[in-house]
Amino acid sequence: MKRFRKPIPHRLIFYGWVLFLWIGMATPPLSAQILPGDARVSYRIEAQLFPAQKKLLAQETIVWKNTSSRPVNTLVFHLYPNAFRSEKTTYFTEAGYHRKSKEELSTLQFGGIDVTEMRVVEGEELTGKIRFISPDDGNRDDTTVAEVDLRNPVPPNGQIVLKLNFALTIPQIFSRSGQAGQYFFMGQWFPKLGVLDGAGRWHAHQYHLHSEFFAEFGHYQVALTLPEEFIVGASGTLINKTKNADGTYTHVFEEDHIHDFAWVACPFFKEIIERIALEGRTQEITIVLLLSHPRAKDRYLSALRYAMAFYAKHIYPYPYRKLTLVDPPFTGLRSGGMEYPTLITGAHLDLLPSSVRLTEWVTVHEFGHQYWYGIVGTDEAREAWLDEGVNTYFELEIMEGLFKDSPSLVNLPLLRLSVPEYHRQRAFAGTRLDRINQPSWHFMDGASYAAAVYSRTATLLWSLRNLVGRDRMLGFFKRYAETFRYKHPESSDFLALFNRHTGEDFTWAFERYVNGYETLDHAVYSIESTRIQDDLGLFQNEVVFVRNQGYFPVELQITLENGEHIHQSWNTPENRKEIRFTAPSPIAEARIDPDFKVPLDENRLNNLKRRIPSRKGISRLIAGAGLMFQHLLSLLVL
Amino acid sequence: MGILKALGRGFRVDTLRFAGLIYLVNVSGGLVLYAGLFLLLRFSPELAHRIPETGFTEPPILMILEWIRTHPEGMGQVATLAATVALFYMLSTLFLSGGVYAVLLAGGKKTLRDVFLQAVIQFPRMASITLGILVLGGAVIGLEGALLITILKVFASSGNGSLAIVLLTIWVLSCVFVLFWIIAVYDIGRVLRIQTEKNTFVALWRALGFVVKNKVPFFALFTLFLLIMALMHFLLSLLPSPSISLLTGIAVVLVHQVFILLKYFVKIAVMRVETALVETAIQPPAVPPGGSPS
Repeated sequence: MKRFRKPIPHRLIFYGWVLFLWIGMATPPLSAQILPGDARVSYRIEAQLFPAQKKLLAQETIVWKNTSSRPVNTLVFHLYPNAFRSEKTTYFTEAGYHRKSKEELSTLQFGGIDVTEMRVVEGEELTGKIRFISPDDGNRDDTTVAEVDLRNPVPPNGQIVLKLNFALTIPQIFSRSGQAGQYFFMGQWFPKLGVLDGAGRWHAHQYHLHSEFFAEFGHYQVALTLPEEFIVGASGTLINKTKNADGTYTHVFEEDHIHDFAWVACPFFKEIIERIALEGRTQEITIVLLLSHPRAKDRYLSALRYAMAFYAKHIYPYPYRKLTLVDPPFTGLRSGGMEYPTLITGAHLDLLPSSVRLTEWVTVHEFGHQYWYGIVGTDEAREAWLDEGVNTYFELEIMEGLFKDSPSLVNLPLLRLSVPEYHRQRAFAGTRLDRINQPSWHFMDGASYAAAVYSRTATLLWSLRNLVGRDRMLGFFKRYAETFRYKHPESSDFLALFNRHTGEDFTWAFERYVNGYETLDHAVYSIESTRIQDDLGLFQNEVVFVRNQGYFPVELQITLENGEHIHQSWNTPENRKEIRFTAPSPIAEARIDPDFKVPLDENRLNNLKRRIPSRKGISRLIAGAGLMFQHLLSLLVL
Repeated sequence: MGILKALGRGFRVDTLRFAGLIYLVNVSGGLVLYAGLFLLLRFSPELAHRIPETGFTEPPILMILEWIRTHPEGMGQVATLAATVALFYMLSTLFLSGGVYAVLLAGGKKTLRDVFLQAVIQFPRMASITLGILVLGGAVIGLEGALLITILKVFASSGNGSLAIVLLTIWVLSCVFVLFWIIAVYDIGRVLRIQTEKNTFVALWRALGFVVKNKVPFFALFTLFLLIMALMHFLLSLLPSPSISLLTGIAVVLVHQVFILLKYFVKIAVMRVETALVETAIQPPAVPPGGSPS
């Protein structure tokens, strides 16, 4: 195994850096005070990682513009590393850590962020005015959101320049961010402003167990200083890399129109740069791949190629200069399967066979976030479905296209499962006490959150796609992504545009299944065929279809014993539909949704009914189950 | 006796008699489950109207998933029934193993009645050896678990992905290795317990010594066993699903029965080879000490 030089900087370097930051506070570079282009905020950060101490020291310059119609005299910040400060934070409370014993807690490596200096450039000192608030749950032990009052309010269209110094104690990776040995994944690692809406209200949420993130679009320039042996991947594009006198390297990354910045560093990475041809141009991709995962490269690349081409064709080409994909190690898997602007983390397990498409699945999903969370920029904390659900719908489209000749998720001899079927089963598993559209911290548990936000939303959108047509559905999403590019739309914007694009009113669907608690279940209730005595050879046939719950337009199919099919649409909201007709043959069976276009129907078994019962199908199911059991027994012989 | 000669004694046609006996237990267990499922599903008038006769529009596993999700109480009944049958089946095979080993030690030329008689006589010994191996095996599995936790902690502190894969692979191999020793010691312990040894733990200790001394033949035997099983399961995976049509279904079920019988044949053959190896190693001396042959 390759041995690396231990990255322990001299103690003097550590304190020297502290001194440098202090001096830096006194002389802000002028360039940092100009807000570029249409940016609403800009962040310039200079940070140094001290891997052995698991510390990071940084200096941050924020230029922020008040885009609301009112003067702003309070600024609200996210200080998300404080989610991992103690077992009493909202994150750990929601995760049940407060019930752990002292012994268990003593083994955990907590961490947090300390803002050591904050002030307005050439103006007010703010450090002492930092006040922690808990807008979501009132937890006083949670310090993930802070506010500061300004002596001089920022007028509409006015700007303010802030200088901050902060020190980060990097926790173990509990959720998405932290360290695992020499693997450092840094997401939500710096003080970041909340989002101010047009009415002058701040949107800033505490760090919750299930919720993800929301921030303002802007310009980022981040300089990261690390020991030489660390391979670095980050949001944005590398614009400069210099060697310092102490042997460390400084990597400078920059990007526009993004709302967050994440980075990763580890000595056990290999940086692979690939170029993908997209709609007449070349897109650069960097895969930060673990040295021990050489086989993962082609799987990541094939999934990315397909997903990028799909989005380029149906939405628009990926607009940033670069995309970075991080391949986390097994010990850092808690940072895997996550999205940040222009950077995503995958999930690859070498021990899994390639017929389990985990690597491709996660890659396709996380790349899709670049559009919905990244470019459109919805609020993942308050309305997670707009990002996760929409993105899962695209995951279905892409995975079904990528693996069109075999089940798209698992293709094992005893288990063949497609991504749409997986989401359908998960959507209806367990209780449905949570509605899709609600703040993520209101969900009962993680399973309920995932079932509603990801799977039920995708299943609803898949059903709507089959109703309005695939082209119209994809056309809507293209228009949605163009209309709300960098604009933070809300659920009401989504619905209004959907109605406008389709030319129909689908408020009923969103009110029932997104804002409401309804579920959908159709059933064939009864079938009757009676020979008409007066007219030899004719039968009086009758089928009753019912909706046990919900409403969704659906196709009905009645099959006569002579093989003739009768089709009807049921698109009226009553709960019972009776079809009576005379025919030369009695009914053999009736089916609801014969082409399986409404996966939102949660019980598929009652969608078919035969007039004359038959147990042949059941016998075959029993034979299959019995054989599996016999084989299982043969393994248990003592 | 060499391993090849021992294999010749194990893989004989008359081994099928014993295999057939265990197979009957398997079929009985299977039939109980079949009957339970029939009672639960087949006589449900609702399902008789609902489940398609032929040409399932989706894989049966998805229909089963749908049924489990929409009928959680029915799933509970099936799971309880399956667990009860599996437990009864394991006890039955344990019971029969005493008879089979005893008859094999006596030369194998006995009737089924002798197998049952010996099974009754040997059952307490089989049960005590099983309890003993559960205690010892449990301790070893506990050690493996502790090793896994230590490995995971090492990963967490180093973050080295390559090291993680190497150590995990070593751990998986060590589990296979440990399983091999547990099964071998369990089998030989049962033979020794029937043959001479009165104390369970001494029998297991002697069995361990025996397996250590004959590790090469045992390793060869178990490797052969695993290869045959892997090949059989590969061939089974090539069979079509029984749900395609009635005739195909019947044919597939019958072929599966032959495969299950053959699996038992291989298992009994391995038991027979083990018995042959023990007999060779612990044969009485040609001339009894302290006297001349009469």
